[in-house]
Amino acid sequence: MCRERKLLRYRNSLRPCADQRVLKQLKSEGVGNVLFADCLTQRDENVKKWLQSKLKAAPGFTGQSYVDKYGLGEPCHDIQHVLKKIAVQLGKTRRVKAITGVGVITITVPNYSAAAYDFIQVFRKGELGGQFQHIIVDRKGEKQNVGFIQLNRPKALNALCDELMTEMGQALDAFEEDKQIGAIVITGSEKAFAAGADIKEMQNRNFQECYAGNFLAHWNKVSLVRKPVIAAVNGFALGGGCELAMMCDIIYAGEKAQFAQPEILLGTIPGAGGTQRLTRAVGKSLAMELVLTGDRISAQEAKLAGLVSKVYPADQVVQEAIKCGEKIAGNSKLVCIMAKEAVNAAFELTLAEGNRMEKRLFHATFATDDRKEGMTAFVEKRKAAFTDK
Amino acid sequence: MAAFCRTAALLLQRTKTSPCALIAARTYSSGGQYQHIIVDRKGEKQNVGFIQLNRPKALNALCDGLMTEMGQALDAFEEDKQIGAIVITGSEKAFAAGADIKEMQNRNFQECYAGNFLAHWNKVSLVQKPVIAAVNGFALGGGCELAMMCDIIYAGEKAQFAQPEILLGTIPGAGGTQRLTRAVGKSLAMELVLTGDRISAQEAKLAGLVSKVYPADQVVQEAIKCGEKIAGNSKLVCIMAKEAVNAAFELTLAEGNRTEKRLFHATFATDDRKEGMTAFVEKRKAAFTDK
Repeated sequence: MCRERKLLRYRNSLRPCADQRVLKQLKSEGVGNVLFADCLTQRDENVKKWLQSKLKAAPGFTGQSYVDKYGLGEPCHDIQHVLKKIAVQLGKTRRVKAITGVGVITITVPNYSAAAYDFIQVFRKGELGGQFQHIIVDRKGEKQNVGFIQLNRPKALNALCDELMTEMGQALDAFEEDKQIGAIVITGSEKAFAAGADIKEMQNRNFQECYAGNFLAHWNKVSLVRKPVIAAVNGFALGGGCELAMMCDIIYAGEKAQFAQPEILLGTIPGAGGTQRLTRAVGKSLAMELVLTGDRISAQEAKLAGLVSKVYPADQVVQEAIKCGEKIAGNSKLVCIMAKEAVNAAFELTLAEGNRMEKRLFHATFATDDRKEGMTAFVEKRKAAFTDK
Repeated sequence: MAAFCRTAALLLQRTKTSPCALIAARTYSSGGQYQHIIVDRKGEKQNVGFIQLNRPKALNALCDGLMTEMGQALDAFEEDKQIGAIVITGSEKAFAAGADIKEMQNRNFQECYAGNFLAHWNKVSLVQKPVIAAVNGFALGGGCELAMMCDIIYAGEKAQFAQPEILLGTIPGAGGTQRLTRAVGKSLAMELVLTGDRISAQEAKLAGLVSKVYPADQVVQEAIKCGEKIAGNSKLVCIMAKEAVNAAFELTLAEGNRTEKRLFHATFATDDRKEGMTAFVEKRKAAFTDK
């Protein structure tokens, strides 16, 4: 049961396809044992194996190719998309028939348990995972309290395009509203976090379009998120990618990560906060050097300079970032938001005014239940049970 | 300490009618009435003020009484014309392991805001003379904030810095988020404030929080040596230098440069500036008079 639920929650990138037509036709002739051509992506290997084993065990398996019969051309279903369409019918039936790339299986959803209800809600609203093309969205952590956003444009080395940033904004909004999420981790692939902004997109713009259209205006969404955000950077974080990482609160870098602001080599300057955040992080001399020459620094140099706080082996950095997110999400989420606000005020106010703001926020924590619970637990030498109130 | 008390008692006995000696007695006996701190003068020329936190059972946890006494001791050192620098330290086990939680546990928002809780805890940051923190062992929460209020931090090899207030369901309240971010940068500051993790003295030095790391049994001596070095210069001009450096955190670069320039021009109104430059040209040791 648990495994089925895990599969249901499995997030994948989505490709559009003529699934409505397929579903209608299948429904009209009854759902039988049909076989699609293989269309699951590399990541779905485990899922595919499980489905194949299920299929072999299913009675009446004919082995007929669906593609041949209906002439769909390139098959493009994956579980997510199809389940989304079926999920709306969950209220009517307890058994969900999923049309997958390897055939039809029956997945039994736990009958109207809370978990099933969450699943229905998420999919019905289409908030998470289902509709994103350029990012992968998930929940991680033992208590599922760490939001996870992975940039997913492998062909473009995760270059940031307008659509990607819009989708990221939507995913961040969803995580902000989700009361269960306490921290968010943003990462790319192992090869590249984000190798800059999409140059082809920007190549033919002129000043009037940029200024009037407020180009890059919504790219700072990450810096407006109230919950703590951790960037797990592997590989290239160049230009816009470096700026995206710096918008996050904490940066964990893989050993082979490289940071750079090479916009100068394209004849422009960093446009999403690179010059400001880099200078505040690494000091004038190194910031000037990076911005004016376009040179790269390694993860170790970035740690020495103060840009990243930890360096891990490339295959561990995402896990460590999630662990850090779990640690943060285990504290009072309400007070974490206040703490983040106070630290960010250090970049906006003078020291005296910043101290005053911090003191006001500190006094404000005394109006929360969590403060009383935390201090009482400390005095009574027990673990605190925060309620985020 | 005992010597000062004896001197004070002697002065008080002999000079009932002499106000000047009474004032001297009060000054000398400034170590006598403190419960939570030990106050002393150190250095060859007795020109380094010394404050040691003394609440061993509570690992030097900062309570209201301790901070009030520290304020009084700092006031006394400020008025004392002989003192040129001040060293603040704790025990070898702990500099100050946070604020006293039992004191804060049952307060509510109204009490805190109306009573301006923690208002006078920033006394250390208002002192005009240079202050050096010699940190051994735990400097957690309020202790880390106290160290950061000082101008220079020397750390022992086993020192640990942290801001674990988040684990108690609150946030740093005495400048921790502001000073830590300015010292170590956003990523590390966010990590420390949001997770409550600790960093070692070596990590703190790499990050820019402390300027020197010494073996645990030498750090207080080294801090006093540094204090003597500072106190050997012109005390008046040291105050101006400290003011200029602190202005870097309050003003933009252009305005900070202007403030520094005004202070620089002001040093030309002092005797010490003339004495110092003349001594340099004449290749001799300067004899500063703090005027």
